This record gives sequence, C-alpha cells and structure tokens, in this order.
Amino acid sequence: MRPGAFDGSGLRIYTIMYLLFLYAPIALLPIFAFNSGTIIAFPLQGFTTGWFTQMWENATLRRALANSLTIAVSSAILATCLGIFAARASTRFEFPGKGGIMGLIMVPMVLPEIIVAMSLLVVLLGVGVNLSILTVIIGHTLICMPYGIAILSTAFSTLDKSLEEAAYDLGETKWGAFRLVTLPLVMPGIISSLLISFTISLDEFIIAFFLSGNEPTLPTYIFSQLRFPKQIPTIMALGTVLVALSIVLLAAGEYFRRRGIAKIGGKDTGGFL
Amino acid sequence: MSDDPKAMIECQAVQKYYGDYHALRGIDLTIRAGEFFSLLGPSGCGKTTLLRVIAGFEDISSGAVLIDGNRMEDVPANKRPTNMVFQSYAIFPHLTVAENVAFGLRRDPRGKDEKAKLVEEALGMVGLKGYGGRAAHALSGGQRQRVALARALILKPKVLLLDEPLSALDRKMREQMQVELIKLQRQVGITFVLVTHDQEEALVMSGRIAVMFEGEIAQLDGPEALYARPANRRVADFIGVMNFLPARILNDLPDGGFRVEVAGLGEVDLPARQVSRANPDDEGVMVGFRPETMTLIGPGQSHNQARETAATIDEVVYYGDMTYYDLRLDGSARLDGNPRPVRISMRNVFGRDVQDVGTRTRLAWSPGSLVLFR
Repeated sequence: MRPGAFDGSGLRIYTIMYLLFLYAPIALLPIFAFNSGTIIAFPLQGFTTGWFTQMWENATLRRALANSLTIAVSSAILATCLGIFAARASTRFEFPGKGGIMGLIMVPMVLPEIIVAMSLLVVLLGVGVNLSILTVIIGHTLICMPYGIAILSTAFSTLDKSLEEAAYDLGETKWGAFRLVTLPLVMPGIISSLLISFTISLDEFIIAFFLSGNEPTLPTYIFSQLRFPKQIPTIMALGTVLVALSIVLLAAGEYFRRRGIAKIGGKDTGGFL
Repeated sequence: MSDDPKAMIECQAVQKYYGDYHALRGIDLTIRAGEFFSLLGPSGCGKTTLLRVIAGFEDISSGAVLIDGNRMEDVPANKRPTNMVFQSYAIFPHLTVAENVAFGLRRDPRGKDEKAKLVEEALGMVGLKGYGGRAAHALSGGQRQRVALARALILKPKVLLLDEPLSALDRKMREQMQVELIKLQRQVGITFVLVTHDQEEALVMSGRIAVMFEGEIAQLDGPEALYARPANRRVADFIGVMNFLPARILNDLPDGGFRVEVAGLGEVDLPARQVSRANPDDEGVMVGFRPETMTLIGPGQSHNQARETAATIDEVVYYGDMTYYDLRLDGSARLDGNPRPVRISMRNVFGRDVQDVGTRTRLAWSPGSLVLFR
C-alpha cells in the first residue's frame, strides 16, 4: 500500500467544502448589506450604509424586532424556569410515572413543528384566545423547554445530592439551600439553557406564523418582504445585524458559563462553543 | 434505659420501610452523651439509614427517636441539634473555605468580626489555620474532610454524625485522620456517631460499637468485648479473622457453660461467658479462636500456656512485622472427617526464625481464648 494513503487529505477537502457551504452564504450577508446595488449579484456596485438607515427607519421592521426580542426573552426565561423544575424533579426524586412524564415533556423536540403549531392554533381558537405575541410565547416555551431540560438535567445530575442536604443540615431552609448552593452551581447550565432557548425562539418561523395573528416577528416579517426584490438589501442589512448580535450574545454567554465552571473548579461538560 | 440521664440519642423500636423493603427492623439503641459511637456493618445493613434517621433526613415508619430527651418526629433536619459530615464531604465548591465554615452561622445574629473569629477558631481546631481564603474546590481530600468537620463543629451541635468520613482517603491519610478524630472528639466532648463498614476503623476509634446486619443490631459492645467475645458467628466472621473448628458438646457445666470436644484441640471446659450463638445455617457446633491467640513453639522451646497441640505447617505468609502460618492440626478431621486448616499469626521478633512449610510443629494455647458457637 502506498504510504500516506490514509493521511486524511480527502477528509480535509471534505471539511473545507463543508465549512464553505455552511458559512459562505452567511459571509455574503454583510457583503451585500453594504453594496449600493439593489440586485443581489456580483459585481458589487459601491459601498453604502443606506440599507441600514432604511432598515432602522422601517417602523414595521422595528416592531417585528421588538416583538421577536420580547418573545425570545420571555420564552427563554419561561422555558428555563419550567426546565429547572422538571430537571430538578427528574434528577432528585423518584415518583410514579416519571419516565412517561419526562418522555411527554421531551416529545416536542422531535415532533414536527407544523403539527405543534396547528394543534396549538386549533386549541387556542377553540378556547377563544386572541392570537398575539403572548400565544407565540406559549408556543415557543413549549418547543424550547425540551432543549432547556436536556441541558439542565445534565447540570443537576452532576451535582452531589449531599450538597443541598448539607446546607439544610447546617440550618438553612429548603429554599435557602436551593438558592445558596444548588442555584449557583447549576448557573452555567441555566445560562446555556437561556441562550439556546433564546436562539431557537428568535428564528422560529412556523409557530410564529400560525400564532402571531397580525403581529409580525422577524422571521415572518422577513418572509413577507422576500416578495419585494427592492426590500432584499434591507433584509441583508437586518441579517448582518442579527449575525453580529448572535456572535456577541453567544460569546458573552459562553464567557459567563466558563467563568462559572472555573469558579467551582468543575469539569466543562458541554455548552455549545 | 430512657431515664438514663446520660442518654444523648435514644432509638426506640425504630422501623423503616422503603416500599416493601424493610431497612430498619426495630432498632433499640441508646447512645450516651459524649461518647464516640460507631455503627458498623456491611453495605446495605441499614447503618447509613439509621444515621440519616437520627439526622432527620429520613422519616421513620414507626418507633421513636429522642435526642437529648426530646422527641424528634416533628423536628426537621435543619432544626435538630445534630450536624453531619457527609461521605462526599459536600463542601460547597463555589465558596471559599471560610465561607464554607461560616455557612451555618448565616442565621446567627452575632457580628461579622465575631463570626470571623469563630471561623478562625474552628479552622485552627482542625489544623487548617490560615486556609480561610482558599477556594474550596482546590483542596485535597484530607483538607476537604477537615473543612467539613470545622463547618459542622462551629455550630456546637450536641451530636456530630459522620457518614463513612474516611472511606475516600488513602490508607496513610486514613490512619492519621483516625487519630485526629479521636483527639478532636476528646477535645470538644461532643457525642460522635460514626458509620463505617471498616471493622478496623470502628475498633480503633469507638468507645462502643453497634454491629448491624440486615436492619438489626447484632451486637452492641466495646471494641475489646466485640473482638474477644462476638455474640454470634456472623459478628465473629465480620470482625477480624477467626478460625473455626467443629466441636461436640459432651456435657453441661454448672455455670451454664459446656464441656466440649474440639477437633484437633481435644476436650475443654468453656464457661458461659465463652458461649455464643451459631448462625442458623451452620452445620453443628463450632469452636472459634483468633489467629494471634495461639503460639507456635519452636523445637526445644518452652511455654507457659495450659495446652499444647501438634500440627503441620501448610503455608507461610511473611508480612515483615508478622508471619501468618496456615496449619493442619493433628486430629482436626476427627469429628467430621474433614481436615480443617487454621491460621495463626506470629509477631516477628529478633532471634526467632520463621518456620518452614512442611515442618512438624507444636501449638501452645489456653482454653480462655476459645469461643463456643452453638
């Protein structure tokens, strides 16, 4: 056999192609966002920041952004809080039907979103609830929770059960033991859960499309604008802002998560960066 | 028993079920104020459950637990005059050593300076003076254990509960901590209750030991009594090494003892205090003795023991300070046809040769070291 036949050069090419395919489109976003031509095509025309100005002056877009942020922050907090309850219960206690209950909570992770969206719509309309960003928050909390629980369960299960008992034994109340000992120790998991829920909610389309009524969210707004070629550079500018925001947010989250782990001298188990 | 003024912990007919599993089967136990008490037994015998019952982490199914004369059924763990050193130490990794030790003082009205002084005192007591500012997660196993001790003792509990506190340490560290714990207990005078599966640890450290099997106390005694006079065959097997030889009861003695014929040892009179219970599944009567209670006699040596038995050396295991001899006693197959090997341990002293495998030898012993299991 030829020496070096398994040096992995084929795999290296595959990896480069893969990364190009993944990130080239994202790299195009800022390029066209600063391009003065309205048509998304090379050659580039000239440099402009006009699309950003136009984007900022667009009231509907601002409203969509505000809605999306409200929804994403609310669903992230709700999903994470509920996730904390579920993860703590499933890792600390044995109760009848535990496996089934946890399974049902986790199902939305694999359930097609269109089904979740449709059934939620039917139920909400049937009950007579008006569609608003509140209904989107409910839907997003539902689909974010499994991800939060998956992350938080790991955080809770790596925690020594004696720690909370020790705090209780030393005179704290049960809540005090949880607040003073458990909460700081699972904080990296909580940050991860908040981040992933926020990102899932922010770019979620189907549920937002079904449940938002007349309120635009960023994805539904972007989708509605794609019909107008004139608007596409503005969308590119918006995309650029979102990419920049995501990078800043993930980096900040990861920084705090790692700092939290270093502080307790723990082993880094996951996180997404 | 319950009106003993010195009783610190009283368990009265304590039963504990986990579903169908009967973890504690009627524990009656009095632990005296200021004593170093051990709960000893194999894993799953209920010793940790009993400790957690005393701490208040587990409810009991029936019976009563009293601490310092007060019934504990409505007192939760955070209000009991007990503190616990956990098997994992449960040091809070996100706090410093000083913050860990001061944790129990959070609800204490005393001032900051006074608390800091208490923390420094507690750390000094466990040999960690000046460690207050360190991050708790950076400590070694032995240091964590000391922090756990300081954190519990700073609250001046009436009872300190220790759940296998030394099992995570290496042998040297463990032996050092055993001595330190004994000293510490003497110094603070607090009742210590230790859970351990290590019989040596229990013998070294405790004033009294309760040996537990399957949710019951098999024997409650001081270390010497437990070792020399095990109440039954199971306790004898669990604590140290004991040789067993088949025996036959010849007749009763007036004091409640028996005259027995022991395979390989001949006829002996065993008074009532040398009689214990056999295991239910034992075949017949057995006589037991510890390896160090018999002495190998070299050729031409004399001895002052009452009895002498001829034997052959089957195996020699040399340990440096000790030598173990596996012997076959002449006539050990007399009662049931099976030759029984016995193990004798001899301290190696200068000028006495280790005897060789296959040597015919003599064994000197006295009937006072035998225990009859019937």
